[in-house]
Amino acid sequence: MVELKGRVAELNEAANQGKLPIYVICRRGIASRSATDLLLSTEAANGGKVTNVEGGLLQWNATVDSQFPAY
Amino acid sequence: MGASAADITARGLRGPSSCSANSASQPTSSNKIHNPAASNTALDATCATKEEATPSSDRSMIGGSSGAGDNGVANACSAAAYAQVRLNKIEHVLLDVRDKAQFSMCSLPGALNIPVRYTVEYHLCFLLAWLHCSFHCLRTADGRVERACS
Repeated sequence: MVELKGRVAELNEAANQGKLPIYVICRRGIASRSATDLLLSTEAANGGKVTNVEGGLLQWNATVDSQFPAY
Repeated sequence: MGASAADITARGLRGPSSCSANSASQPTSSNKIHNPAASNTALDATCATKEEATPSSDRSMIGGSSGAGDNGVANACSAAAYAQVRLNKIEHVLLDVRDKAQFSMCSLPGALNIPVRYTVEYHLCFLLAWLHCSFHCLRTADGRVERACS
């Protein structure tokens, strides 16, 4: 989680200092779960508006867009 | 749902010249990183390996969103629920925590890539767990060598 911790400020800026919700995604939804928990436990909590996309991009491929490559 | 075919089209966007982007649905570079909802195509997939934009045939679940946290897990939503966020162009930040190489290969437009890089201790923990599992799987009560897990 080293890089994510080091770039919390950048993320906060992207989220307009907590005004925008953050959705976290990865390939399978495991790393993004950890990242979501990390963000919620730090100053980057973003007002609790941090959401993990369960199943990640594999689930996106399976349920939303089959054109998105599954790897 | 009211999703048009263009809203859920997969296409190439980022990466090498092998990509063939659909210019009609190309998001502006200014809002590409921090504002996924502002993308002209809400559900576009970005993939360096895609050569031509083709509409997806699998649309059945797009209208099946059951909302964030519908499975009882806090601060979580299904992929279909997130698809609704993009379709409705709700302003948000999409944080993709995959490695840079994976992200450059294939990603959703507008995503911000901040990889989750684990510490050495984290990897060591997994290595020790694997060694522990391997040791116990190979040693059985009657002395036979057997692998019970992979």
